[in-house]
This record gives sequence, structure tokens and C-alpha cells, in this order.
Amino acid sequence: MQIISIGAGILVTLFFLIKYFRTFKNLGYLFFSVMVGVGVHLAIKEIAATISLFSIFLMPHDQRPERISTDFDILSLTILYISIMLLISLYKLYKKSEVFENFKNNQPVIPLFSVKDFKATSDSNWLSFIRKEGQEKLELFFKESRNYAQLAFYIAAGIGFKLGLSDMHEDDYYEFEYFVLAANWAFFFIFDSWIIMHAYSENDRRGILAKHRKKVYYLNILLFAVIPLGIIFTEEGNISALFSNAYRLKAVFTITLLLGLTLAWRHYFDFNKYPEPEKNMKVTETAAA
Amino acid sequence: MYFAFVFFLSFLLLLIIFIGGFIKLKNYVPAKSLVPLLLLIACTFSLTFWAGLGILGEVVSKMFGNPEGPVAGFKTIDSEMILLLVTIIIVVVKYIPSMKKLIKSIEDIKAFKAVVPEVNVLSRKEHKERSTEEWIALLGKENGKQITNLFIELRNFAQLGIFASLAILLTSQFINVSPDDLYASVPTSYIIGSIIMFLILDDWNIMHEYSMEREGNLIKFHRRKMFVINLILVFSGLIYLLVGKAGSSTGLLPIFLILLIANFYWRHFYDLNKYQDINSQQAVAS
Repeated sequence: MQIISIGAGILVTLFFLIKYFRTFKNLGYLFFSVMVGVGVHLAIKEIAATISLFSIFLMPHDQRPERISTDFDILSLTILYISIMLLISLYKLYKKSEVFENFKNNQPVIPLFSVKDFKATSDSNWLSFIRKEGQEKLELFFKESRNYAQLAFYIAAGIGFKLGLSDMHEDDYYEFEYFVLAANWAFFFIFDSWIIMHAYSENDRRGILAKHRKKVYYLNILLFAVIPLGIIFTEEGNISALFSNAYRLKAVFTITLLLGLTLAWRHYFDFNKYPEPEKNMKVTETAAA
Repeated sequence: MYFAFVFFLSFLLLLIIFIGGFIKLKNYVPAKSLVPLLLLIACTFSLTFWAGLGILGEVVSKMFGNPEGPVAGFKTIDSEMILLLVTIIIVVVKYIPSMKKLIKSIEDIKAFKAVVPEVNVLSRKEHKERSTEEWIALLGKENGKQITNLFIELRNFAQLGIFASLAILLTSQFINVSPDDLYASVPTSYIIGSIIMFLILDDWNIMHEYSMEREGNLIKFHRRKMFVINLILVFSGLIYLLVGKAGSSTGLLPIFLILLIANFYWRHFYDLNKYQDINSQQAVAS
């Protein structure tokens, strides 16, 4: 299953990389393509993990291992739900990026690690796109990208949460039972709220309400700060113990990186940042001229 | 002593809402339609208040009344009880501004009545006698904005009423069962019910906020979802009352039944979107 999920991730990455490169001639879009691929890899991996977790119900009673806790079941089901939503979002993203097919850009190729060039050309790329295809199509694409990135962020947070729980000592687990239960449900509510907000933003040009944007923004920051700290402190309770455990160190590093990258990606595609993109870009162009 | 005080306070609140509301609104709305409306509002609100304070008292007495100290006392509290308390607090917190907005939207109809004086907006009998087309025509008029706001607020209030009625139902189990029997008497379905109700309440709040921005419009999928969920909530509430312990132990069965059904009826009668849908279909046809 690991090979299938990695293979699917690579295929999706290549697909989107070719699509973006053909359109914008900018290798900086490799980052977005890789993130879409990483999202697919995580989603497939987590779906398989949850199915195998619950497959114990198919086993004969005498062969079943000891049942895991209810809280862990809830978390696994939440991640399964997010993963399915992410795969649905991938399909929508694919459909919404079909508009790139008609868009040809004759600018020279922008090299890969030139962040400055990427930033400078990014806005003009979107502006050219708006002029050719219309703002509405770009809005839909941005909104779906934002949704995809947000879901990928939630999967990363869920995996981090699961890692923290799975390594917890049994005594600690019972000590913090209420906290774990509350955090588990809070995570589900946060994700569920996002699904509704996105549904309305998709159906309405006004997008997400300012109040909800702030709420999601602060919750993202909170999750980004709390999840790695949770993994660090659930076992030994101090940072020095972290460096003696290579597996845990690797887990903290990977989760922090994943959360950080998906968060950066999600905020790049925050369309509400550009309430009137055409107007803003015109101002930028005039200033540059 | 505490529960007697809470009961007295809730009864006082009921009277204040009913009498105060009647005095405030009697000039705008006909008395025959004002009485059931205010009764529904006053009963649902004061009973939710009663249930909230009741369960809060239980939690506090367990936390601080335990000889081993607050922390040890806290451990004895069922986590679902806290979740239910949070749900009730949210319902009450949402209820207060919702009731204010509802009363304001009823007052705003004064301006509307000046334009169409013969229409008794809140008379149920009038609603039935006059056809759906008349409502659609009213919504389409220049002052139809007031009617739209009224519909939005009534829908929200009634939806919160459904949650409140169920919260009271679930709370009655806690208030009347002794702490020692609590674990033994709380079934899994009850725990799931508490959590799901909290989740749906949270979802509804977001939907309502977006619908206000969209002049009452909910996404079709969400409208269907809420309808099915409300049906399930009402039927599961009824089944729980009939076969569970709550009804027989508290004797509040008739109140729960009336509140649940009345709120459900109001919620779906004032579903603005069904009128808007017909309106837009007629506009396309013409």
C-alpha cells in the first residue's frame, strides 16, 4: 500500500507540474504540484491505515487483538473522512484546472529556485490569466486549491495527533483522558466547520466571512503550534528526551515540515487576500511602469 | 434548595418573557397569534435556562462537594455531561441575541403593515387561508425585506428550539438520576446523541451566519441535510421519551412533546427558501 500511495503521489505531482509548466513556464510551481502529490499520498495511506485498523471486526473473536480506545477510533474515522474529502477535492481541482489548456504564455522559462522571480511573475501570471479566461474561473480554481491545501493541513495535523496519542503511556492516557477526548472532538468540529464554510464560499462570490477567515487562520496557527509540541511532550515530558529518540525526532520534524508547507500553500491561495485582484494588479503594474 | 431556586427563577423568566413580550408587541401583532408565539418562546427559553442551571449545579456540586477535593470530584463527572452542559450554554448564548433580533424583526413589520395593513403576518389561521402565492407576493414587494428578516429569525429561533428541547430531554436524565446510578443508566446511544447534537448545533450556527449574508438562502444540500437531521432528532427524541426513563421519571413528557413538535413545525413552516424557490421559478416562467 505504501508503494501504491507513493506512486499515486508521484503521478499526480507530475500531472500538475506539466499542466502548470505548460501554462506559466515557471518551475516555481513545482512546489504546488509536489504539495498536491503529497496530499494524495497521505490520503491514500491514511485510508488504507483506517481500513486495516477496522478490519479487526472481520476477524474471528478469538483471533482479534486487544481493542483500541474509542478516542483513537474517532480520530481515525475523522482522518478517513478528511482523506475522502481530499480525494473529492482533487477531482474538482483537476476539473477546475482544465481552463489552463487554452491558456498559452509566451514568457521565458523561470528557473526553479528563484523565489524573487517567482514572486514577481506570479501576480502577472494570474493577471494575464484573468484577462484571457475571466476572474470567475480563477476564483474557482483558487478556492478549490485553498480547500485542498486546508484539507492536506488537517490530514497532517491528524497524523501528528495520532502519533502523539499512539506513543502515550497508558497511565498518562488515563490522566489526560478528558483532554484527549475534548481535543479529539474539537479537531473534528474544526474540520467539519471548514467543510461548511468552503461549501458557502464555493456557492457565493463573496467568499468566506471575515469572522470565519480569522477563526480558521487562528485555529490553523494553534494546530501548527500545538501538534508538534504534543508529540514532544506526550512521552517523556521534556525536550532533552526527544534527542535520544531518533524515531520521535524524525516524527516531530516531518509533521512540523508538513504542517508548515501546507499552511504556506493554503495562505498563498487565500483568495480573500485579493478582494479585487484585477484592480490591485493594475496598481502594481502602474507602479512598476 | 438550589433546584427549587432555579425552578423559581426559570418560572419568573417565563412570566417576564410572556407578559413583557405581550405588552411590547400587542400593538403590532394580533393577540390570538401573539399568545402561541410568546408561549413557545417563553417555554423553550425558560426551560433551557432551567436545564442549563440545573446541570451546572450538578457539575459544581460534584467538583466542590467532593470530600477528596475538586480534582478528584472532577474525575467522577461523566465527560458527556460536560459536553451537554457546553451545548446548553451555547444554545442559551445563541438564544439571547436570536430572541432580541426576532422581537426587532416583528417590530419592523410595523412599517410593512403601513403598506399592507390588511395582512396579519403572524396569524396561523391567516397563513392557512391565504395561499403560498400570497406569501411569495409579499416577499417580492418593496417592504418584503422585513418579512424575509422575520422568516430568517423565526427559522433560527425554531431550530435552536429543537436543540434546546432535546438538550432538556437529555438533561432530565442527569438531574433526576443519582450520581451513583449515572454510569449504569446512561446508554451509548445517549452519549452519541449528546455529541451529534453538539456537532449539528455548531454546523447550524455557521449555516445560519452564511444564510443571513445571502438573504436567507441555504445551499440546497444543507437544506435537505437539516430537514433529515431534524426529522431524525424529533423522532429519536420521541422514541427516547416513550421507551426511555426520562419521561416517566420527570413527568415532563407533555412539555417535551409540545416543544419538540411546535419547534419542528415552526422551523419548516418558516423555511424561507421554499417560498423563494417558487418565486424564482415563477420569475423564470414569466
